[in-house]
Order: sequence, then structure tokens, then C-alpha cells
Amino acid sequence: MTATTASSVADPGLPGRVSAGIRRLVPALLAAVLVLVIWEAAVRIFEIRPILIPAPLAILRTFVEDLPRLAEAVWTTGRASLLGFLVGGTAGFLAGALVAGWAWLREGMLPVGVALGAIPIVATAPIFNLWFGALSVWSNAAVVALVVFFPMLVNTITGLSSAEAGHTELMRSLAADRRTVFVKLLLPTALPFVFGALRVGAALAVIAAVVADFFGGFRSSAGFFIKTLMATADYTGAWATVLALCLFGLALYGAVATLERWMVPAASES
Amino acid sequence: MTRPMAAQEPVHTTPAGATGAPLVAARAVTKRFGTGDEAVVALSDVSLDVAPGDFVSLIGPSGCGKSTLLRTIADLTPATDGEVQVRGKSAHQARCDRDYGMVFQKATLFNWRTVRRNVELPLEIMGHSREERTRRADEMLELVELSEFAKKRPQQLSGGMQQRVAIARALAFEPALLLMDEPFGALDEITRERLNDELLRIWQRTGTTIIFVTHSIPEAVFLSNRIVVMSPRPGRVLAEIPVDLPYPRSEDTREHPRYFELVTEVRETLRAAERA
Repeated sequence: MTATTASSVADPGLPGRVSAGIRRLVPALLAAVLVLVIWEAAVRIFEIRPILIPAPLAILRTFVEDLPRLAEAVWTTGRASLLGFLVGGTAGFLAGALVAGWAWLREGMLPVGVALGAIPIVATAPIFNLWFGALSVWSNAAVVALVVFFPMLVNTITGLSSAEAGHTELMRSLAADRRTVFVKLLLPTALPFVFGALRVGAALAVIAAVVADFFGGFRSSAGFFIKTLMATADYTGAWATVLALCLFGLALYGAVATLERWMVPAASES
Repeated sequence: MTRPMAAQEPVHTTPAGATGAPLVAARAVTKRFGTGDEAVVALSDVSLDVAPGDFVSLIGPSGCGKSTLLRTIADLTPATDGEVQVRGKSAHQARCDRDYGMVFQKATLFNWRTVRRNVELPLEIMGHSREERTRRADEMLELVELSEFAKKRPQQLSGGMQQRVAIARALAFEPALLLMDEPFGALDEITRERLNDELLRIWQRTGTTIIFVTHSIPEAVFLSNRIVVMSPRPGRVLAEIPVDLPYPRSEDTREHPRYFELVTEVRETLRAAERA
């Protein structure tokens, strides 16, 4: 046998892959800079008032000046969203894993999942305040958990039942027991689906946490902060808070994406 | 045709020199899919003996039940009637004892594992130690001449190379029996011939008994020491044709006059069944 087919198998190596990643980012960064420049110019030329939209440089200045307070706000809200993200994600995965093994449970659970997913989060926030107390981080985290739970449940069930027939037969021919099949075949097959849910969940978690803030009692929370700043006509401050939340959301998403690259090597290669 | 082989006579059919109890014995195996009027008879009263060291090909047109027969031996499809014994045990027990390795038409490699870790999979399932797994996987990759690709992912390999990894995986735990279900069916002719050469070399080196399902007549003649010709609907054994081509077989074998005679014999047996 010769290795003629191997020439197409060049691996650029880690440095090559990183620089390729940066190259992919360049158009996005350029577009972002362009939008910011146009935004800044438009605000100055047309003298747009901050109540409508403040200039990006003004937002940035406020962001830097208010950094300690913003950090506290993001910490308060971020803590609830992170907690809810972990609890909801774990619960969704465990429920999905439990359900996936039994067809009759799966049929019964999916509609329940859909029903849970259809609950408007705004409606749940006051209820959880009642249950856990308005000054408990758990009432906010519960709102987040509920939102994260649904996509994780559905994706875990889908992922665990998407093993190829050929792979299942192979495991059968090797007389692999249920546990081995789960660990060595079903789980690795489901991982990309699980990470899909985590990525969606990361974005939803921040949104849900801020929504919960509007109902909760934390005076230091980002949601409460925005409400207060808008009431005192500090529009630039409100926008700076949004920017801080945005950065937190990006960090959470980035953490999930990094974990995915590490745990699902096939995803970064195909 | 131009170069007749040196030693044409005498020829031997079973290089392992097997006698005694068959490794695989199928007795009056019938397989029906579905029930009542809609039942399809995939296999009808099929009997087959495979001796240790044999290389037996099952050949026939689509729907002749050759894959089904292989799958009843593998205990992946239970027989409706009759009995399949592997090493004197029921097919089910043989599967649980990991008496066979299986190679499917698709390579069925796990793309989240490297080539080496794919070969290690059966050894992991059987609880071998890490050192043992690495040692055996390296041996097997050497056998299929893919050592330098150990750290690649399957999707980085060509179809033929993937199938060789699948063979290495099936042989990793040194089963007595190798079941192959049209393993080279999806490959181009040139790659297929190369893999045929390689498979024969592996067969002779390991002494593994092989049952090989194919719909390629030249492939069956080149590889086997016995060809089981099957007919469709219901799947029956038409004839068993011993292949008396000398060993070792090589590129020259494909130009051997006897090779062409055997190809013709198999083809005519298949044709006769069509006319009947």
C-alpha cells in the first residue's frame, strides 16, 4: 500500500490554526470599527441628543469612569445568570440523559419540555420571588435556570438518540453493555448537541438574568441600575451598563466555545 | 495470461490445513422478515460449514440474503428457524464471548477518536490495560501499514485507508473469526484490488478464518478458497465452488488461466439461477 492519499492531510499545527482564527476575525473587527465611526460621526454631525442615542466615545468614557460600580452590577447579575446557567444546564442534561434511555419517557417528556420552554420568563420572575424571596440570588437564578433548561433538555435527547446505526451495530457486535455504549458512543455523539444548547443558553442566561433584575430587589444589579439611570436621565450611564452586560455575555459565550473546542476536537476540524 | 505460474499442480485449497470440527456451522437457517402474507423470506434452509483457516466468500445478487446470513452468524439478526453455531456455541454466546471481529461496508469509525484510539476501542470495551491497548493497536496499525497515521482523525483519511483502520480494529483483539460485509463495496476498483492483496496477506499472516460477503466475482475468486454462490428470493445456496488457485496469490494470479475459468464458472452459476 502506498500513502498517495496522505498528501491532502496537511495539519497546519496550532500556531497556524490560531493565526487562521485571527484572520477570520479581521472582517468582523473592521465592520465593528466602521459602524462605531459612522455612529460617532452621525451623533456629532446631526447633534443627536443622548436620550435617543449617546455617542460611542461618551459611552466608553462613562464605562471607564463608572467601572467599579459597573463591575458590581455585572457581578450581581452575572452571578445569578452563571448560577442559573449551571443549574439549568445540568438539570436539562440530566433529565435528557435519563429520558433518552426510555422511549416512553422520551415521548412524554418532550411535550413537557416544550411547555416549559413556552413559559414567558417575565411571568415567572414574580413567582420565583415569592418562592425564594426577592432578596435571594436563587429567585433570579431560577428564572435563568428555567430558560436554559429547555434547549438543553431537547438537545440532549436529540443528541443521545442520533448515533449512527452502523456505530450502534458495531458496539453490539463487540457485546458492549449499556453503560459502555452510553459512555463510549452515545455521549460523544451527543456532545456537539449539548454544546449547541450551552451556546444558546449562554446568550439566554444573560437576558433572563436582566429581566429578573427588573422584578428583583437587588439595588446593585445591572437591571436595577439601568432602571435608575434612565429615571435620572443618565442615558450614557445606562448604555455603559448595557455595554458591560454585553461584555459579560461575550465572556460566557467565549468560555463555552473554548470548552467546546477542547472537548469536541472533531468540530474544529470539519 | 502471458505468465503462467510456476507451480500449477498440485494446488491446495485450505492453507491452514484444517480438519475436524467446523468453526462456523449453519444448519437449515431460515430467516423471514415480517409475518403472514407480507413476510419476506430472506434465507431459506441454508446450511454452511466453515473450517478453521477458511476464507469463504458469500456471493450473489442484491437480495440473495448473503448479508443476512452473515448477520445471523454475527447474532445481529436472529434466525427465524434453524441453528447457527460458532466454535460449538450458539451465535449469541459467541458474540458475547467476542469470538468474531466484524467489518461493515461503511468503516463506522468514531470521528471524535484518533485512528489509534479507534483501533483500541474493542480492547477498551474488553478492559485491557493501557499498555496492552497501545501495544496491540500499534501492532495492528503496522499490519495494515498505517502506523504513520495513528494520530490522525478518520475523516482525514481516504475511504480505503478508513476501511483498513476498520480491519485493524476488528483484528485488534485477535478473534478467531473475521466477518466482512461488503467491506470494499464502496471503493474504486484500483483501491479494491490493492486492499484485496493486503487482506490476503493479513489472512495468511494471522491465520484468521474469514467469511466475506461480496457481489464482485473477481474479488471472490481472488480472495477465497471456497465460494458460496447464493440465489435471491428466497435466499438459497446454489453451489459451493472450491477455488484451487495456488498460494501465495499475487498480481500474477489475476492473469492465471485458472482464475478466468473460475470467474466464468461463478458467473455461469449465477446466470443459471437467473434463468431458472
